[in-house]
Amino acid sequence: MWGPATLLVGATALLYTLAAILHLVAVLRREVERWAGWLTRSGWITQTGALLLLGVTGRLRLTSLLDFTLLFCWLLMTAYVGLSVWMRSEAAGSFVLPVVASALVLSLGVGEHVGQVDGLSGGFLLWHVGVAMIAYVCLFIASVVGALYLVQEGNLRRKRWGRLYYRMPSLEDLDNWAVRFAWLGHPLLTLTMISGLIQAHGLWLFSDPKIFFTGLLWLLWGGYLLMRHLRGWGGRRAAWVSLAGLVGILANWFLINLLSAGHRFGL
Amino acid sequence: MEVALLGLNHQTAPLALREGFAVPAGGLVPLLAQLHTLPVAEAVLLSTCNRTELYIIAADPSQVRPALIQYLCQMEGAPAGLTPKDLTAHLYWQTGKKAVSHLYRVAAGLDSMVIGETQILGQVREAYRAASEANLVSKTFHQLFTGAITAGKRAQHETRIGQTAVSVSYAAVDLAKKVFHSLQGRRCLALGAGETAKLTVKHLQAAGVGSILIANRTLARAENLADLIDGEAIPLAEAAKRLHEVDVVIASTGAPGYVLTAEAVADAIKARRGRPIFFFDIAVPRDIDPAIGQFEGAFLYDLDDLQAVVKANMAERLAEAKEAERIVVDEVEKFQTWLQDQAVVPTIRALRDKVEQLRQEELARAMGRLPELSERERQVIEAMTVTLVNKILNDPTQALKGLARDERADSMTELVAQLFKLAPETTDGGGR
Repeated sequence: MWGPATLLVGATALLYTLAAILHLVAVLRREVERWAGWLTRSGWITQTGALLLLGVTGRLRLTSLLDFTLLFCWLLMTAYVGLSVWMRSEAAGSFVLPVVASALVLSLGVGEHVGQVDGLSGGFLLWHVGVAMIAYVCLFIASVVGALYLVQEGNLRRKRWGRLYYRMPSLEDLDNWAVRFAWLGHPLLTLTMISGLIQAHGLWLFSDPKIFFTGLLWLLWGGYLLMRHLRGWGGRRAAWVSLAGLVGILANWFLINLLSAGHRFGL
Repeated sequence: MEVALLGLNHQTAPLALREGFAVPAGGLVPLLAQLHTLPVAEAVLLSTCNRTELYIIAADPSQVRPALIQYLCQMEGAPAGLTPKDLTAHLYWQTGKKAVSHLYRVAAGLDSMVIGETQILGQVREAYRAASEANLVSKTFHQLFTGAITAGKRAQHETRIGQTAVSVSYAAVDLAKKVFHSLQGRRCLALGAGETAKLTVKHLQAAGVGSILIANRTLARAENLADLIDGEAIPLAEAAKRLHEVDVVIASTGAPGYVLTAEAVADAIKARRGRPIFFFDIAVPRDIDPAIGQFEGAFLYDLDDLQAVVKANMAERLAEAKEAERIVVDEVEKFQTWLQDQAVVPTIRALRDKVEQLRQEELARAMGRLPELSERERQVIEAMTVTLVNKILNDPTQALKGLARDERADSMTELVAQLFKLAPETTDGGGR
């Protein structure tokens, strides 16, 4: 479907799937963690190669769910690989890789059919989808970090001194990272919505499920940040809200596109 | 020439014997000076409270061994009347790759009493530095100890072998660091002013805890401890009211009832707007109502919990040790490869030097016969001779390097030396 890049995308999906399995096994058996890390980084390299090839040959289309997922996962994995190397911890891999691998495999199953976003085209479409993608990556990371917070808090509260306890940073670090990424993601989501609403005349909040659901997500993350800022919210409650945000992001990514008339990913 | 090691440590010798061989500060220089009198090419003396090890390079280490045992017996702190025979029962002796591997494991903290301790790496570095200054180290030991230090650093950085606490007091600090990013500038409340409180507070201070409140039933005792650690003394009754100010609480009063009730803690957590408080109840009977362990924002640990953490930490260190062993094997292999390469390097160098000398002589002679050549023509001819020499020597150089890991290395280098009438310099131990 993408010419020579097809092989690289297939290899990426395979490497991420194997990495996801090993990352899950690594929760119990530390010796596989190194292999999980290598597979993850190899997957990232093949994915980078695939995207470069698609970019150079002009085959990358952001209105295709598969291409969008490929680029979205790449942004996510770039952040993950960078952070895991910097922090020398693969702890988040057990949470990130299964989601990324599933998303890629699912998208490959759907196949590539180029769709459109009503009212947007050319550079503006690229800008709208690009900013949306970065916003979702940031919010996705905030959610994963929130999930890590809940696991580590559970470890400390239930006095479970297992593999994950040792592999994860402090609760305060996790809480801070979550809020930082949310602060990055929410303004970008705001920009995405404003740009979409200004340009796509005729499509308003209630006229398209995608826009409506994104509005709900915007409120959820906005509320999360507001409560943290005004009421000093943090810790467990904030982590649960961010986890709800993760479910929202995944639903918006796959399910809502099926219902959206204005955001068609060629499905 | 072969590397060898003679030593004793906590596994082979009792403390009474080990302490005699622990070299005091300033005592190393004369001991190293005495090593010059022994028939060894290079030597390093590693002396800590748990081990004394002598690393040497000699043509036949087994022949030097009696002299090394004698050297140890004559050390200033050695028990009076200790004979070489008595000492031998407590010594270990290793040669070649086993000796190298032992040093690398020592540097990585894998041979320590507390696996993964980091102090030994500094001690290995210091032993190497002292021996270098005493002119006891040359090329081989430079490579050996640099590799050992690298193995130690890698074990510390690439694994978590030394990152978990193995004492109850440190375990408390370790646990607190799993809640807070850092303890720098945090506030602490000590309930009780006894020895346990003092010890734990000192560990917390070392970890960066800022101001410390000390609450005690007898205010005078609290004031004494406060003076000692630069804290603030308050009456025990005031502790609950000031609970919201602190991040870490250490309770060790031993009072019959709960000093901190669930209500008091709930109020404090509310006042802190979700910021967590860490409670260490190391008192028997307990000082803090265990019900607070269920509160969001409260993390409560008692003595049993801390001991369980220490046990888990020990298991974690042992599990990480497997990864550190892999690093040691990797670094030992690097050293062994380097060592094997040294068997052919002098021959390669001698061969290249000889051919280069011939090239320059013949080039000078040819240029003398061709005075009419332009500068450009001279450069072309010279470049041609360099290329010719490199191309001719490339295959034998690669073949010799390939032979470095072969058991025929010695006979083959000898053959090459005879064929080309070379006199390669030996590389091992020539530095003294």
